[in-house]
Amino acid sequence: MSKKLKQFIGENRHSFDDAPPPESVWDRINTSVPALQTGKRSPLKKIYRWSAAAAVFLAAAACFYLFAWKGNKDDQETARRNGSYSAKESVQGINDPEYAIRAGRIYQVIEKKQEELKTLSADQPELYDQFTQDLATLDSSYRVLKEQAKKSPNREILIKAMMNNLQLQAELLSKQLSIISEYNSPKQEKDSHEKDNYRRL
Amino acid sequence: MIPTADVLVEQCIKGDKTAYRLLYERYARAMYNTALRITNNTADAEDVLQESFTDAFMQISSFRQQSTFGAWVKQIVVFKSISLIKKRRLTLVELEPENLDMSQDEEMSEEEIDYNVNMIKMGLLSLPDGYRAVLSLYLLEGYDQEEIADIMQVAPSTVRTQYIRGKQKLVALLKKQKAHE
Repeated sequence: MSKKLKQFIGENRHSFDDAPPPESVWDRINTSVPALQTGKRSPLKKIYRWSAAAAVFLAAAACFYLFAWKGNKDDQETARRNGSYSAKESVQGINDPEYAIRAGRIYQVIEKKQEELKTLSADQPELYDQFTQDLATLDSSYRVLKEQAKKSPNREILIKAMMNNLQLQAELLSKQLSIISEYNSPKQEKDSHEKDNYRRL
Repeated sequence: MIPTADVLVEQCIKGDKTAYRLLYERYARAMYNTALRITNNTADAEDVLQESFTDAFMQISSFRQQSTFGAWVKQIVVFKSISLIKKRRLTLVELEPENLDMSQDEEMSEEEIDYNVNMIKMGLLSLPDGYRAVLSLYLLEGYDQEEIADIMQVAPSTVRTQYIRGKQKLVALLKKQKAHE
């Protein structure tokens, strides 16, 4: 291929880049990159923020569980006997069709996410154990609520709390999934930091 | 001290928004001109620039520094520009093999041409998409024949054909412009 033309262009290469890009391009990039949006944090900061939120959830769930445990030992015993839960079993027992439909739906989501989590965290047994323990804490307070709902006159309030608990479980699973998928991404050094961070909960 | 691109990339990964802006400012002009030469349309070049930096920034944590950040973004810019002109039904005309020998390139008399930047720029922009893309990638962006074939997903012989034809046209245009002066 031609030397002379290529040589001339090579010697004057800089002069060929004379058109300045309009400022509006940066504005468009600024609004389309999540890391640049106001209020948005970097993925690592997001994990920290979520960790704090999860810590609050778990602390609240643990407090409630302890409180309920003191208040009703029998309920706690029932919950313990039930062992690991299944969607069907958890939804049954409350005679409220609307609740059954809504809770059933959330439970389906929860079960699906649990399966996903199990698959994704196959290589991370330690993290998976930590995740399932956290979920179990939430689930045991759900069981206490459910036992109380069977007897208590304030059934509506308790059912509402149960729905909130299920929502929390689904949210916790979503966050766990996002952590595990970030953890599975190739940035190992960052991930080990995230894992440590989660452990601190 | 001006931070290197590698340092800026690290700062971006840590969430430093200023580092994104500094990286953009460092490379935007060169990338915009690359896109402009291939697409020959300012609105398209702006879209390519925006999409390329958006993609690069969103995947910045997976940038492994096997190449420089600039080379990485340029690759994205070139791919996006080429696919854009391909959407415009770019047709790469295959020539008969006998028209393709190297001597043809050498026979083109360039001696009497006193090249100047503006004339070359104008000449390039007046070429059809296919010729302009091949000539830009070879003459200005520093890609070789095989790499251009790979980027444009055509046979290396087609690249060669396009280059020879494109250059003939360009030289003829430059001569014509010179004659008008």
